[in-house]
Amino acid sequence: MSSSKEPPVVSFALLGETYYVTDFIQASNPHMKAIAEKLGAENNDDAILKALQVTCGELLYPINWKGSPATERHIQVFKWWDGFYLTDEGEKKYGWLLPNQIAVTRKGICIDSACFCATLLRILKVDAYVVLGAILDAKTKKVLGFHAWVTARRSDGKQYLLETTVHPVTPPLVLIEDAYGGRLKIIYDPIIRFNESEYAEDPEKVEKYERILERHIA
Amino acid sequence: MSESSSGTSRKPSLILEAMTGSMSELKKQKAIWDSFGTLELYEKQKKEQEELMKQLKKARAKKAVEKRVLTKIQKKTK
Repeated sequence: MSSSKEPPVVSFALLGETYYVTDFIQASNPHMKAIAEKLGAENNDDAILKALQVTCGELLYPINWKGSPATERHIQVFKWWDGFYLTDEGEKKYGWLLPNQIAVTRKGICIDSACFCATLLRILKVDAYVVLGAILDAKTKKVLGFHAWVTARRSDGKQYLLETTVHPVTPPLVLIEDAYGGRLKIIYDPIIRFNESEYAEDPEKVEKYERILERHIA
Repeated sequence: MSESSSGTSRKPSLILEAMTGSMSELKKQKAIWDSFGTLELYEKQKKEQEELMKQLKKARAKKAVEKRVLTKIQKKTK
């Protein structure tokens, strides 16, 4: 992974406003600080467990009646005298939500729940990152899609993967060697990682996967 | 190690954009749930949503019939 002083921007937030990707880890947000304090974590490892428990137990993955991820959004602001809104975003594709917004909506897809969980961990001083990457079929090595997860270092010095999209049960922590090495049914292939102060990416993987995405878009 | 020294921010990468659920979101997510043994929970949730949608459709149809009947009665009384 190569690090960069200037993190990339995210221009597809809730209202279409722009942020640095690192802004999605709200380590000094009062709403998130209050949630982290409530966890009552006794130590580093307890913090990891409780942050994952609250993420998986309190949040939901948004699914519509067809069983598909409900990723559409519709934002209306400033109701005018004629009943129309001065700012009407209409139905658009998904916009990244900030962790404190997720705390209110209590629903979110992978990037949202990962940023929510990583924010709690960073407030509790855990060495943790949000990782963006690809999910591959362990047998066929075929790309199934793109995903976000969390990695955190426990007191034994080992890094673990926290899968934050499994609700309401809390999934077990997975050693990153196992998750990245294909010991599950799927392979987690990391491309980018960040928290509130660091951003790093694997340039070769970025290029490789961007080519796949370009083909998909075309 | 690549370091950006420019004052302007970098463009959003396609990888970040791919997090907006555009590519095979359900396929990927089902594989993850299956991997963690929670695919059944998803199927249960899906069935519940379908059932709710059926009820909503029935209620809408009933309301539409009531509206038609009411309009007919109103026309007759005129």
